[in-house]
Amino acid sequence: MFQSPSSNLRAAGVVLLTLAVFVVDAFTALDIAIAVLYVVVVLCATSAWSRRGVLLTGVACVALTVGAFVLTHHDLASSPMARCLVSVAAISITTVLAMAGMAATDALRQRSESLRLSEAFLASTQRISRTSSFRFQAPGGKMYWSDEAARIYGVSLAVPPTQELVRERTHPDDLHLLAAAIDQADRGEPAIELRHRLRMPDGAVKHVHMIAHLAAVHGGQFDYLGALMDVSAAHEAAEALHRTQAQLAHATRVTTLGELAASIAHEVNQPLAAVSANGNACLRWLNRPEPDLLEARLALDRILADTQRASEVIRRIRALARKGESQRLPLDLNALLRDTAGLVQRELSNHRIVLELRLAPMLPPVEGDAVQLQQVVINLLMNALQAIDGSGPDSLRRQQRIVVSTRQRGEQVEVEVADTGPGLSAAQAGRLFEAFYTTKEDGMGMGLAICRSIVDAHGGRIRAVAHDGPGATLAFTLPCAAVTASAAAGVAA
Amino acid sequence: MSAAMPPSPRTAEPVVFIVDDDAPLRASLSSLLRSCGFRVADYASGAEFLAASLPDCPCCLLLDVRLQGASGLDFQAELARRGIDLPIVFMTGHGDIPMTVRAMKAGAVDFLAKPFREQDLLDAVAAALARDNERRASTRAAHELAARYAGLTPREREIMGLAASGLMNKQIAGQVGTSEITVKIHRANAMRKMQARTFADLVRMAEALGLDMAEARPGSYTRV
Repeated sequence: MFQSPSSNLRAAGVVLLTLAVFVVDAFTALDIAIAVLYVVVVLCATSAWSRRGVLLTGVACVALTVGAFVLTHHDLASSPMARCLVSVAAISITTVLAMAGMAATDALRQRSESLRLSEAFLASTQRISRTSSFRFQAPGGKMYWSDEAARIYGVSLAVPPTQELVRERTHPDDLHLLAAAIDQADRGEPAIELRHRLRMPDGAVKHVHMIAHLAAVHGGQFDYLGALMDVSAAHEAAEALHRTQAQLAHATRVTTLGELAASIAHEVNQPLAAVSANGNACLRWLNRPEPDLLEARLALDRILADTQRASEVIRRIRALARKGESQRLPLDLNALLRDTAGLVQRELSNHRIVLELRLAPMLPPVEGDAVQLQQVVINLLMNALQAIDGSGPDSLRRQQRIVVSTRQRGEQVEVEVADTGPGLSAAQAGRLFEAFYTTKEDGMGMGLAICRSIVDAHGGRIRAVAHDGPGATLAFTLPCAAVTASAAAGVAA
Repeated sequence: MSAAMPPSPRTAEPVVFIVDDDAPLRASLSSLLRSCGFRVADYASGAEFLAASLPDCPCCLLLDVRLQGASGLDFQAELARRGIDLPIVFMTGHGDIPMTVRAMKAGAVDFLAKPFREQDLLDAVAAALARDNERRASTRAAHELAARYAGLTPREREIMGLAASGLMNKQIAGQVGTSEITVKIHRANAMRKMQARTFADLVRMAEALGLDMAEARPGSYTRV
């Protein structure tokens, strides 16, 4: 532990002092224990050298004391001898105490150093992970927070945190969340979790995640310790992923529409052909020498019905081709299945496949995005169709059918699509919903993977059931919206 | 099936059959064709059509290419297999070229892409009915001819065949071993019964009946 020139100066001082004491001790005939002054030398040494140096100094001083005694007293007279022994004892005790004191000082210094390091460490990891710590009392809201919290809240480190400040930074739309969390704290709940947005003075929005645990209770005051994370980056990544998934889903929907184009063209042209034929017929009934008003009226009625039919087809297609944010609304799965069946019915019958709907009456509504769920159903139906088609000439002999059924299972609604195709092996059933897994020659392997991501996003599950022998069943469940829907209905009412 | 078919099959008013699985479209086509004075019978499927009996009058069939269960093309083949010769006008929701080619090759009169113009429909129906009329007329003529021919005696048939093949009465007499006078009488009887005004008429009838005149060729006369 070499130090600055000043410590060298001190060392020189110590040496000089030692010499001075020795000279006085050895060459003057004072009848006092001059050597006791070595105690000062030892004490000075503590500020000049390390403990080892101090020990050496002590030993040197004892040696000098004894040396001076031997030099000046050739007999072992008791009085000088006693003085010498007192000096040696004093020097020894001082040395030991000085060294113990130095050890304690070193330990203290080390501890404060490591504390400083760990604080710096904590601060930098807080900064890197964008996680801050804080403490607050409820009710009342006395707060303390780490520097990172101040940075997350975008305030100067010097500004003391207050509930008022927190409220000011909270996004206006999320103030109710904050208020609920504060209520929880006032009630002394053991754990509080809050995900909300902050709005910075410059308009930037941050997503934060706060977790706090009750640390202590005294006199009606609850002490909470917590962590506050800036999860904006994760949130943005999740958003980007969501957008990408939505785009992919849209792309495959459009692809599916392309595959169905021939059938859909037929669906649209059919009512159009009827409208035009009815219109011509109507004119002819009216233009007769004796106009047939009854026939003309019937033709007009049919025109109206056919127009309705055409716009219904267009509505279904447009809904599928729609590109937009997903929206969660309570919806009737049975109605959705009937609607979807209408879209693919023609395609199925072109492949000589009978579609059978076995829909459970009184099915509770589920909460979801109609377009996405419709896509799931279309994908499952097209998958069944392709499975049947792929089963070769054998498929021509038997009557092929696809059965779509719904049922309620506890708090879930289950939709099942069963086909009479060649079936699945257990290994295939396990991998069916993986992206890019396909059993078809020209398949992309995305259809069922998208089904799974949609169903997962709705809090449901999708699975494939392998049968012994022909026929495969793909089923998905969705949680009922019964509770939330009735609550919403109650609010609306 | 609509009730547009009058009960009597004797009337010569043409009938247009419609086979399409789309009920509203059938209704509209039926109304349009009826307003133009056709009798119309419409069916939801090929099987329904086959179960009904065909009237004895010019008819044609308006057939949808895409039917539930079986395609219109399959139904066309089925009709051919059953020997039902009916002019077919196909309707399709989208221009499917391979389908069109197959249908036309299999003898379809025309092909209408939905939605079609009234005039195209009426033209196609008129063409189909004209074709059926023609077919019916030639069938009817062939039937009559066969009936008249059936009225001839064996000797008259023999002499008609030989005469039509170009032999002189004298040669015929030599061949069948009778007098020339008798040949003349049989020949006159055959012409009368066959309602042939000239000898050329008789020759055409013999051709239409497909009489085998090889045995009676002039060349074979030398054998005698």
